This record gives sequence, structure tokens and C-alpha cells, in this order.
Amino acid sequence: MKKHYTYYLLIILFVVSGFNVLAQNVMVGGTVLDKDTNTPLPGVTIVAIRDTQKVVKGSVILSGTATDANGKFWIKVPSTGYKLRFTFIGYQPVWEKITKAKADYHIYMIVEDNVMDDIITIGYQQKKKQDVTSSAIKIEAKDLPDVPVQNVMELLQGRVAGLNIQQNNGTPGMAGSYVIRGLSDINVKGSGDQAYLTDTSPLFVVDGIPIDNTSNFDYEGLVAGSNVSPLAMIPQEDIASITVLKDAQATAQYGSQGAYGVILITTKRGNSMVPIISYSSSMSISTPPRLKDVVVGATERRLRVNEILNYEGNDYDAQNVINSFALLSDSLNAYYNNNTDWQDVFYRTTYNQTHNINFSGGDNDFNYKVNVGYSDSKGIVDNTGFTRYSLRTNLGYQPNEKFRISAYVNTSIGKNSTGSGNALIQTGVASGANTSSLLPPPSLYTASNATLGALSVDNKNKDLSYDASISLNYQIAKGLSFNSAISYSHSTKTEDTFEPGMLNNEKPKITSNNTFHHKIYNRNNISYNTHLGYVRFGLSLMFELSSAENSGNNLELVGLPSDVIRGPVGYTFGSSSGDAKSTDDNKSISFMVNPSFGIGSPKLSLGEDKYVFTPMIRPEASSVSGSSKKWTINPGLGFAWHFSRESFMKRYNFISSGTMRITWGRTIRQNADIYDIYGKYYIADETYNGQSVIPINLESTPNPDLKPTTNTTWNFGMDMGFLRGKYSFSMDAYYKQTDNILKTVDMANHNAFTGVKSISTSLVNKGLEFQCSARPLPVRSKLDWNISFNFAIDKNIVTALPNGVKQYTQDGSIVNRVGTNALSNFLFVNKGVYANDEDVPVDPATGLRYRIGGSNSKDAYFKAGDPIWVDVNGDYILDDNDREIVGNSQPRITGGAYNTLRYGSVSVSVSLSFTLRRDIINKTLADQFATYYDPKSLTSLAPIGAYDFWTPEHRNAKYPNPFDYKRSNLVDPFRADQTLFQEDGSYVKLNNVSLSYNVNKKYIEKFGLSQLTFRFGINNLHVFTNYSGINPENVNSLGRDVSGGYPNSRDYSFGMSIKF
Amino acid sequence: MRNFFIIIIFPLLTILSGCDSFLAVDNIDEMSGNVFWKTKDDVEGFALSMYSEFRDATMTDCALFPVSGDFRCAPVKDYYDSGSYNWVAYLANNDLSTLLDQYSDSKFQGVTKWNTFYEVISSANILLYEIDRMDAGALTDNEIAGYKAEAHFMRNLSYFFLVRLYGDVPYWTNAYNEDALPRTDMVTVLQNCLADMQSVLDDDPNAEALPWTYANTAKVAVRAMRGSAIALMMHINLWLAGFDVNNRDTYYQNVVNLGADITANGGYQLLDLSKTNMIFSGGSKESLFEIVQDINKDEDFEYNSVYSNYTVPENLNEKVQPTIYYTSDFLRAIFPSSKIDGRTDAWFKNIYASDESSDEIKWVTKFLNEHTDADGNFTSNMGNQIVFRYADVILMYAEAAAELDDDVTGRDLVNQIRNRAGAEEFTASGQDLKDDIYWERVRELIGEGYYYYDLVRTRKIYNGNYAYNAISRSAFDQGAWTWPINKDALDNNPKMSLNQYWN
Repeated sequence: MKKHYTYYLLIILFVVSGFNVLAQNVMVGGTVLDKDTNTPLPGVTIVAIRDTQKVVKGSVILSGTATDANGKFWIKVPSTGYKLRFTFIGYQPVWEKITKAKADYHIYMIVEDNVMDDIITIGYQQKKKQDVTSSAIKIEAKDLPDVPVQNVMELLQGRVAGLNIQQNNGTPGMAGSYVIRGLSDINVKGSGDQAYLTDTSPLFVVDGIPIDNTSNFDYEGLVAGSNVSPLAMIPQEDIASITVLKDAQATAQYGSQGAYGVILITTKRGNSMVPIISYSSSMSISTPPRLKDVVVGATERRLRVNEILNYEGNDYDAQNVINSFALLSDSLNAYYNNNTDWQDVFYRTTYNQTHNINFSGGDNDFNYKVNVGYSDSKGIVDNTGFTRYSLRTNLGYQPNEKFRISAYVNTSIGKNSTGSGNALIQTGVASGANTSSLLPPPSLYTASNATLGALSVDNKNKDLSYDASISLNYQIAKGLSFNSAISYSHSTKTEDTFEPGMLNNEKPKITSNNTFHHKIYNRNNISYNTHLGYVRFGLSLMFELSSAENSGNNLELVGLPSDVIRGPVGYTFGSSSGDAKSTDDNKSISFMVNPSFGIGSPKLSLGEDKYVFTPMIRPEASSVSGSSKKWTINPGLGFAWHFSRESFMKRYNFISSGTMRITWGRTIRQNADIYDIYGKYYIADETYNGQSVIPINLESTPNPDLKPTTNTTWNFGMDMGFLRGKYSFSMDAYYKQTDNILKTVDMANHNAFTGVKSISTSLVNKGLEFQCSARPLPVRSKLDWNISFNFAIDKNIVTALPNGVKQYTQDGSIVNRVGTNALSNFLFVNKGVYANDEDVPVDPATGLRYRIGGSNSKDAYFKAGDPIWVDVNGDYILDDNDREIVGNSQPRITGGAYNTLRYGSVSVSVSLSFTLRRDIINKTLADQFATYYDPKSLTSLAPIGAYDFWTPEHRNAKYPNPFDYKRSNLVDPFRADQTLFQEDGSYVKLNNVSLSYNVNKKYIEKFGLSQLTFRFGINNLHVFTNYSGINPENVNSLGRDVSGGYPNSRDYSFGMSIKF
Repeated sequence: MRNFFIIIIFPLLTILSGCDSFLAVDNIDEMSGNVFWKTKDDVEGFALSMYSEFRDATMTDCALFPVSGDFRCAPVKDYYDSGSYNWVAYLANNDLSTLLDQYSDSKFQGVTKWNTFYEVISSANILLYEIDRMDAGALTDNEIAGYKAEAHFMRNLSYFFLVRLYGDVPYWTNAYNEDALPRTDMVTVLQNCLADMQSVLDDDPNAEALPWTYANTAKVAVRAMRGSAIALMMHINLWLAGFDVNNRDTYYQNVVNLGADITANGGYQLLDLSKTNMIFSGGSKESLFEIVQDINKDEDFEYNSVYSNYTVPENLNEKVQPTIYYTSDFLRAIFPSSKIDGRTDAWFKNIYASDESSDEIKWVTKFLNEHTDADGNFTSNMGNQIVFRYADVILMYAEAAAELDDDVTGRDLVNQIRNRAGAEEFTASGQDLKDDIYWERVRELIGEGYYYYDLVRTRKIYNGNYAYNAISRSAFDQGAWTWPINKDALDNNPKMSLNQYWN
């Protein structure tokens, strides 16, 4: 816009030369400011016109001027009946009525929000929003809340319709779960508390270079290896914008990696003739959430004693049990007579800080940026934390109009500690914090207490990475340009864990995992754009190469000399082990042909098309696919109709833009590896007759017919803007079909192999996304109000399962059934508690009562105080056949809202997100009740006094009798997989509230500062929910609230940023 | 700038032309099927996996030979009357339901699981399939024929073991089978196996692919030989003669023909009784097929899988009794003290001791070849497990000849065994000779996993004159002679049914 500065001055001179001088003139003056940044705007054209006149050609302009370099203006106008018009290119015009002679008018101008001209990068090409046919949402950094986070994705929660972010893991530096447009895979990995859904994170592309988010071989690797999310390595201060691509027409341009959606991150570049040095820092206090309630001290002892007295069988045995258990009988012993809050030992409030220095400058011809960041956050679980050091630089140079080169060099060091747990779960802490309150707090006497072992585990994860890239742009001829990018990235991750002897049978243990990842990436494209009358034609050809190599090894030493001497390596050779893995090389070659057509009309100016048509095709070959089916083809088609440009829309002039879009696309992803296709042969540990034996791995039959997973999406979209973009909304409806989902199918045991990989699973997602934003207040209002709201509804249905079966059960309580939602909870239906023995149904055939399957003992028959579980098959035996589909573990509606208010130099923003209609299993509560299964265990007891449970005196209860511990392990009344513990997990979360204040320039100028901003923010402020557990968001991807999960902290932060 | 453009484009074109080689990824620690099956070493390593899996199926995952072959329905008792050895009685009385209910030891439970044998079958099928798809020239034709013959042998040996255990079993010969199969009638299974083995012999008239023996002594009887194949075929024929009664003469004739071939051409011989230790260590001229145990290379059998670990005390401690003894009735019946038989001394200790005696304890020392490793782990037999040996073949030949009323041949053959034992020659004929041959099998093959199966295939199991713990005929017809099949077999297989007598 500065380029036009002189140009406008000329116009003004021309205008000024013709105006008439009238009587009763007054001088008015003031400042013109950018409403968003509150900075002065130089070069704004100001003219005075008669109030009644419409601004049409030839209207009488009385006087005119322009603002100076500080945005100040000064103009002579008649005292009444006139108004000033402020215009500036790229900004919406502003009218101000002159009421009196003032010298301090503050005029705010607002950037003309012509959505159609926004630049969006799709398929490595920059396009104007109007030329894009697919569903893409771009969020600028300035629209992100100003609160410190470790991972910038946290700030996107609830901002993009269809991008479901759940901060289900509070481990510092770890990623939450990001899912674009619902489920893409229904396979559950792991089991029990460690079960999770196969990861389908989107592809992240940072400054045009795709990065491997789940780089440690795969998501499973996160359980074992180092676990810093690569996104956590980018400081939020360095981010310029984030774009989310949702439909397959857009993501197919990224090939198989884009199958689960694509998120583009652009970092900041230098853009100021005067070099800018800015420093920002923030301090924050992280507090743990509400913790579990437990019974303490004498109450705990009394509960245990009573439980034994009432249910051991007879008084003699009961007294024996109590007397032989010192914790219960020796109440005067100081060791057993305590009131310890164990959760307090493990959970803590921490003070964290981040610092960031940004040095940047330059113009279009030459620009540079150096960003140095440091962030330290200690986890709210003791012995965990994450520290990041990062250095990010870029340089751009454009010696002439035709040639441009930019280079990026980024390095970072991440250190984190997961303590005794891993990236997914804090098992050690979960059990440690669950210790009986009767035991003494940590002291000299408890030095060898196993519960404290979790704190002495020494876990160090180091993640060193650097990447460098260079990209060139060369305009060969008009409309024909060539672009090439080369990048190299390398990262080393090490994880060293020391476990003290007390946790490992008095044998201290060291494990060390090392992984190396490096990748070379090259992309070249040629694009050509031309016009033929009002028909626009574009063609882009791309060629992409990528070669990645992963290798890793691990070493385990057991039986070190002591907890203090952690060596020498090889001390006890016999019990130590190690192995190396160097199998994960990955190479791919791909091409892309991406033509585009636009049809405008003679009435429209060039570049304003009515119809846009964008077909594309991307063939790709990958080393994963093996030799038989190397090439996969990702096609896409898109069509957009800018109906607001049609002549019949002229009369609806409040509609500033309107587009209808329809796209179809298919991404193809080979999820099978070469071993699934050809079988895996390995050298067996055992020899035969002294010779080595090379058997085939029997886990999965080789299946050469494995086709890659295809993801086909139809997307129908509509975008509209009203009143020059004051209000806008967009809507997308999609139909996403995922076929050939890879699933291991178990086989009959006479086939030697235990399973075969099958591709006959299909899944359909249907959804609707709605996103709107408004800036309702008039421009001249001093108060600026920005508000946006979005939601997405997603419904998934399994349409086919292997071998034509109707349902599959995974990990016991999760079922995939054809025709219903993919991950249903498969539970025992609880209908309360048997009040009396007579209430238990009796099998008329045998005369025996309803009982637990798998046991014939008399304890197996239900009696008063036991839960009523529906006997679905009516055989009077409770077993797995009595489970029913009740509930869906996946959220069906997600969304959020964002609101900013700015008044002068103060601004307040609030963001919230919500997840509705989701069923959660409160396993934490189930586990707490289950502590009563064994009154002699040293775990804490849940304060069940608060719950409505069965006792002989109180027979109509919600919860079964917890005290009948002799039968508890058989009946398992508090099993988590029953409807008693299934709850509605809907929530509305106040993500964050932030307040910032810009100190007036005149106070800081003398200190040599150009800007000083103070900020205060609260992150994770509050969750509104009916869920009885701690946090309905803090549950695993299968909707299980497991006690070992890492809780999300609430952070209060105070920060400031300074610009020199 | 143009130059730069060319610099970028040119290597791209080069890379494009080498697309396939760019995408080929080598893995160091594990091999995928498309890089395996290239060299002879690959085939050799894979072929050994069949043998190794067979060892797992028989000598590691369960106590197959002693539990299913030697002690079931046998006149055995446990020395300890403590209750923890009740299994001996359950096994001897064919009370497998109680046995499996009360003992979760894998040595019993493992016998009900057939998947380990199917691993051998699967590997054999894969070898037969993949070896034909290998690049020409990697192996000579003779090598290919040899490996294929070994695969056929291992597959049919496994099916033979499966049939003896469970009766009808799923039968498949394609590589990488994925289909869930029902059980195939056992006669059909064995007839298929027989045809399969016959084609191996027919394709190899000069015994080049599958030689009579190996020059490399380490391979003798450890890898399939022509003698192993013939022994297996004789066994299959005799089993069929028992269960496909209408065609029994054909099967006996087959046994006679095979017996004539192996005795005339095989070059195998009976070793002197004084070389008992050599016979049962393995690799001798008498051995036809055996499973390798190599204590020094960590290839050792499970303690419980070794027969003689039950019949001699641990660490050969004379003060301690072995787990199991044969009743005096039985031992005195088969080795009457009045008649001379070298085996009574060579293979037994205190054979004539009474059951109650605590001074003289009965041991079966036939396989004694003890070893105690550095950690103090003891085994009474560090040698290989003999599956087939020449004496067995001679006795099968004799049995078939006698069944076809060729008493002269039958008698001559059985007397070879008698002579080696230093026992008096048989002179009987007709039914007496048949009985003599049967009892000679009991004597000669004691502890080698044949006792129960000989009773079953000859139907002597429901005849109290032969069987000490008989199974009733009606129970036999309902399948009481089989083992229960583990319920795992029903998983993912709607076509599967278990043995009705047991399950």
C-alpha cells in the first residue's frame, strides 16, 4: 500500500487545485488509525463533501488532504453540513460528520475484508480464495488468543468447523488428538487402559515442507519412545497463519499423506523497512484440576475394619484377618497412624515461563527473520516437564521481478520427562497417588516406599532436530513460472529412563532408546496461467520426491550395582538386552497435474470469474507399496460458482459475495506395509542342528492383494458475505467414504497364521459444518467487536466388515457393527441393584438363580446387593453374550466460538469450544469403587459415603454393595464396562480468556520502545458439564476416562511484549 | 538462470528413469517375502524351520510322545501316592476329561492343541509354493527336488501325527490358506498323504533327490531320507489297514512292498544291543528319522517331553523313585523271567522287582544318556528323539507279511529282532505268530511312543487279552481313542466340530 502513497498525493494535488474557498470555514484535525493494530495510517485520502450528497462521480469536493507519516491530518471545512470521507486502498471507506471544530478526531479504518482476495495455499500453489473450490479455512495469527501454550494447535480448538481437537492429554509437549471430519480408521490398538484408536492425524505442512507428525515409526512408538510432538517445537510467536484443508479435492493434492486432512502452517517473515526487534515473555502458573476425593485417616481404617467384620464370613476369621494386618490393628503405631494426602505428593502447582525474541526486517526484495524461543513448563505431575529451545530463521531475496529465493534454517532442542509413565498414561503416578492415607508421608522412613518410586524414575527425552530448506521461484515468461523446493531434515530422539531398584525387584534398571530420522525432500513445479478473452486457463505440473529413513535401537540394563551407580554398562550382561531396528525407510515419487479453468464475463474485470473449474490428478509411487502395485492415483475435481457476480444478484447489493462449491476427490493411502503383502521372514533365536532357522512370521498371512485405503469425499459448500464482509458464513456438507480399511482378521487356528490383513472394512462419514463470523459494530465506533461461531456434526457408519460378518468386538467393550456408528460401547446394561435375594430371577428349568458365567460356585449366584445386569439372551448366565450396544464413544457435535472486544488500547478475547453428544465411560470411578474389593490392599478408598449404594438397611440403591469383598472378584460389581459408569460426556469449555493493554506510545517513546503490550490470560478456565468425573475432555480416544491419564492444567499467565 | 533450470530438471529425469531402483528399500533386520527366496541359504534356513516347528510341536510345547503314545492306557502307575501324580492314573485309564480339567500343565493341554503341527504343514506348503517361483538357477533341479521331497515328508508326517491324535482333521495343501475348513475324514487324509509320498518316491527312482542316507553324518536321520519316507508310508498304510478295513490287504501289500524295498536297498542295519546308547543318541545306521536335541547349542527338549525322565529318577538319585513304573504283571508277561532276553538287562534296571519294593526300584534305562548342565538342570536323555528306526520298519514288515499269511517272511523278519536281543527265535505261525509279532513290538519299541497307537490301530485296545487298560468297543466307536480338541479350534471357524466323545 505504501507504493500507492505518492500516487495518491498526486491525485490530491489535482483535486485541491480546484476547490473553492468559502466563508465560515473551520479547521479540523486528528489522527487516522488502523483499527486492528491501533497504529497510525499515513497517506489516507481525506475529502470534505456536502452531507446530503451521495458520493458519485462529479460531486462537489470542497477540500482535500492526506494524512502525514504519523497519520495526522488537518483540513479546512465549512462548519456545518459537511462530512469528511476517508479512503485508503485496501481499507473500507469511512465517513465522519463534522459537528464542531475539533483537533483530535480519532478515525479508525478497517481492512477491507474481501474474503475472495485472501490468498490460500493449496497443493503448494498460492491461490486467491475465489479460485479455490474446496473447503479450506485460514486463520491468521492475530486472530488466535494471546495465551501461552506449548503447542499452537491448542489455540485452534473450537475454531475450525470439522477439526475436532481434544486436549485429552495434559503431558507437556505432547499432542492432543486432532481429527478432521470424523473417523477414518476403526482399529483399536493396545488394550485395557492403554487402548487407543489408530492415529489418523492430519498431515502438517510447515512453510511448504511436509513434516512427519508421528515420526517415531508410528503412533505406537509414542508409547515407547521419545514423545515430543514436532508441532510443539514451533513457538506460537513465530506463527503467521494456519490453514486447514478438509475435503479430498484439496488434500488429494498432498497425496497419500493427506488422506486424513492437511494443516498448513506459515511462519512469520520479515516485512518492515526498519528492522524490528521484539521481545515477548510470559510467566504462567499451572494448577492441577480438582483431584479425586478419598477417605482419610481413622475413617479409612474404620471402613476397612467394618468391611472385614461384616463380610469375612465369621467373627473369628474376621478378627484373625484384622489382627494379622498391622495397618488395621496397630492403630497406635506411628507408621500406620497417618492422614497423608498422597495426591498432593504427586500433583503440584508449577511456575513456567516462555521468552521469545524476534528480529526481522526487510521488504519484498530482501527480508530476513530470526526467532529465538525458550519455553519451560513443568508438568503438574511431579517429575514431568517440557523445555524447548528453538532458533528459526528465514531469508528471502528477490533480485529482480523474475527470480525469488527463500531459505529457512530451523533448529530446536526439546527436552521432556514423562516420569514413570509414558506419553499416553501416567501409570506410576496413578497407582502412587492411590495409596492408603494411613501410610506416612514421604520421609526418611519411606525412602524405599514403592509408591514413591514413581518420583525417583529418571526419564529424560531429548529431541534434537534441525531442518533446512530452500525454495526458488523463477518466472520464465509471462504467466509461466517455475518453482522448486529442497529440504533436508534430521532429528535425533533419545530417551533414557532409570528405574530405581524399589520399582524393579531391587534391580535398578536403565533403558535407553535412540531413534534417528532424516528426510530429503524435493518438489518442483511449473505453472502456467493465461487468459483467452474472459476465459482463464491455468496449468500446474508438479514433481515431488521424498526419501525418509528411520532407524532406532534400544538398550536395557537390569541389575545395576545400586540406585546411585548407574553403570558400568554391561555389568550384568545376562539380564540385559538390546536390539536395533533399521527397517523403516520410506521413499516416494509423485507427480501432479493440476489444471484450472475460470470463466468470467465481459462485464466483470479480469480475474473475477463466475465459474471456476479445477480438476487435478496426482499419481504417486511409494516404497511401501512393494513391487506389484506401486502406483496409486489420487484424483480430484472441483467446481465453484460465484453466483454473486451474476447480473440477477445486482439488486441484492447487501450480498457482497456468494459462492457455491462442489468437489469430489479421492486420496489413496497404502496402510499395509511390505510385510503385510509379502510376509516377514526372520532369523529365529533357536537353531536346528546347529544351523540357523529362518521361519516366516506367523502373525499375519502375506496377502499380495492388499489394496490401499481409499478415501472418497464429496463436498458441497456455500460461502456468503454480507455488507462488505461485515457478516459472513460458510457451510459445508460432506459425504466421506473410506474403503479398504486395513484390519487384521483372526483366522481359524488350523491355518498356522493367526490372522490375515483384510481390506474389506468400509466406513462412511456424513457431516455438516457451519462457520460464521461477524464484525457488527459500525467502523467509526471506537469499540471493535469480532465474533465467530462454528459447529460441525459428524455421523459415522460402518458399511462393511471383513468376511461379511455383521459385527466385530475389539478389546471387549468396543464393537464395530455394520449399519451403526463405528465405535459403539458394548456394555452390560445395568438396571439398578437387587434389593432382596427374591428379586433375582430364577431359571424355571433348573430352579437356580441367575448367575455369573464361568463359575459354578455358590458365590456366582446373584443375591441382594448385586447389580442387576440385563440377561439379554435369557440363559440365566451372565457372560459376554449379554452385552448390548449402548452409546457411542465418538463425539457427534463439536464446535466453538470466539469473541474479541477492543476499545482503544485494551482488548479482551474469549474463546470457547464444545463437544456434544458423546458417551464416556467413567473408569476412574469404577476403579475407585473397586478399591473396596480388597480391604487389605494399601490403596486409597473412595469416599463412597457420597454415593447411593446398597446396604442391608438401605436396599433401593443405585450402586451395588461394595463391601462384599469375598465375592467381589467373582461378581465384579464395579466392572467399568456397564452402563452404570457410562455418562454423557458433553461439555462446553471456556478455553481461554485474555486481556491485553497497549501502553500509549507517548509514554514509552522516551525509552526507545515503539510498542509495549501487557497481557493477562487464563487458559483452560472452566469446563461446563454434567459429567461427574474430573474432566470429560481428559479421556482417551475411545471415550474411556482412565485413572492414569495426564490431567489438563489450568494456566494463569501474565506476559508482555516489547517492540523496539 | 536457464542453466539452473536445466540443472534441476536433468537430474529429475535421470531419477525418473531409475524410479524402480529408487523405490526399492532394503531392510536389514527382517526380510520381506519379495527379497527372500533368492538363494539356497534362504531355502535351507526356511526348510529347517519345518523341522524346528516339528520339534516345537512334539518336544517343546507338550509331552507328546510319553503322554499320548507310551502312558495312555498303559500298565503304568506312579510311585508316589501323593495325589499330585494322579494324572498317571487318569492317563492310564483314558480319563482324559478329568486329566485336562485338573491339570493345566502344558504337557497335557498342549496335546489338545493342533496348531503347532499346522505350523509345520503351513511351512511345508509355503516351501513347495515358493521354491517353484524362485529365479531359475538359484538351485539345481536336484536340490529343488530334494527340498520338495523334504517338505512333502514333513507335511505328511504332521498329518499322520494329527490323525493319530484327533482322527478327522482339516486337510489343506495350498500355501497361505486363509479359509476356515471343516474336518476331513481321516481315511481320505491319509490316502492323500500316501499318494503324495508315493509320487515323491516315483519321481525319484534313483534316490537322488531324497537319498537313502547322507554323506554328511550331521544330516543322517536328522533330515528326511528315503528310509524316513518309507517308514512313514508303512505306518500310514498300517493305520489305514486298521481303519479302512475293506482294503486292508491292499495296505498290507503296500507295507510288504515298501519293506522289501527298504530292506533290500536301504543299507540300514540293526546295531548290536551293546550299542543301545548309540542307537538312541541318534544318527546311527539304525535310525531313520529323529528330532534333534543339542544340549550344547541350547537346543534342548522340555524336561517333561522326554520319556525317560519319567522312568528314571531325577539326577539318577538311587534313593528317589522315578515318577512312573510299569506294573510287574506287565513286565513279567512280556519278559518272562524264564526266557533269556538281552533287553531285560540292557534296557531295564531291576526289571523283576515287585511293585511294592522300596529297595529295588524299577527303571527303564533304555534311553539313559544323562546330562546335567552348569545350572544343575538334569535330563536323563540328551540324545535325539527317535521317530522312526529300522527295527520298527522290520516289525511292520513282519506284521504285514504275517497278516497276508506269509508266515515265513514274517517269522524271518521278527527273528532278526529276536536275534539282536539275544532271545530265542519264534517258531509259531498263524494267529500265534501275529501275536508274537505284536508282543515283540511292545517289547522292542517300549518307550518310543508306539504302545497306545499299536493297540488302537489293531483294535487290541478293546481286547482285555492285549490291553491292560481297555477301552470299551462302544466308547472306541464314539471316538474315545482320540484326544479332545482344544476349544480354540472353534474360534473363527463355523465349520469346525470337536471330538464328540470328549467335548
